[in-house]
Amino acid sequence: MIKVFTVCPQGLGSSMIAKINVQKVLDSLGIDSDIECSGVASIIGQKYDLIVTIEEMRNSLEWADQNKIVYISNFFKKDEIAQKVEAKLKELKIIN
Amino acid sequence: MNIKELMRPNLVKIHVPVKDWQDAIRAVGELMVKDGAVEPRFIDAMIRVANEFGPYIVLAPGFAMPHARPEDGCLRSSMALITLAKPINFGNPQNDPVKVVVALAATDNKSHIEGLSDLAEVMSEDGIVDKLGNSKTVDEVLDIMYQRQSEEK
Repeated sequence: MIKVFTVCPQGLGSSMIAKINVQKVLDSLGIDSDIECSGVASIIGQKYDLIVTIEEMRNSLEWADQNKIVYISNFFKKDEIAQKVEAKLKELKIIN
Repeated sequence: MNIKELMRPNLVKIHVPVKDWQDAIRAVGELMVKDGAVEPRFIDAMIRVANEFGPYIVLAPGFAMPHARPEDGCLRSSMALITLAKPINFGNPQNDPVKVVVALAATDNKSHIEGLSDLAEVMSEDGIVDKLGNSKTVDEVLDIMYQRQSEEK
């Protein structure tokens, strides 16, 4: 089971769209996951394996471990999300 | 609530002329105010959020989704859609110019999940923004938006 946060400034619009699509991607990869959408402040002090967010959040997430963050530009392109998330999971050795 | 429950026909307007992105947010927000879904201050909150965090609300090429918090004056969960008479830049180099704006208002962080999931399905279709932008009637837009509906709850 991996813990994933999708993050946007308010934690209820774009991060929720991201959650829906990241869930589909992880399901299709056969990865058991717990995905939560959230604003930046709510993830401070939390444990997670991966963060999926948007380019605009780069500055707000400077303090977080950049190795665990995937930045996406188009929330609706499941192939972009799939490609970037899969590459990151391989990099983190969560999948082979 | 699924997309059909959230995006009621009176919350859709096509070929709306606007002069800039703030104006576009006001135009889509006005539909929600008239519908009684949000208080007028909700519109200011949507503009403030976009100013504060930059044009992250442009989620995909040609498509913006302004929104604000439940406590910013949301009375009823809903989604409003406008297509723009002329595409407008929101300041997002990757995804500008915007042709379709969907505003989102939610009374909590759960009631709109089905509707957002429906929206995500519809918006992931290739060429969808042009298809919506070229729609000549509100009914045409609604037919596209209602293609997929989660079960009503």
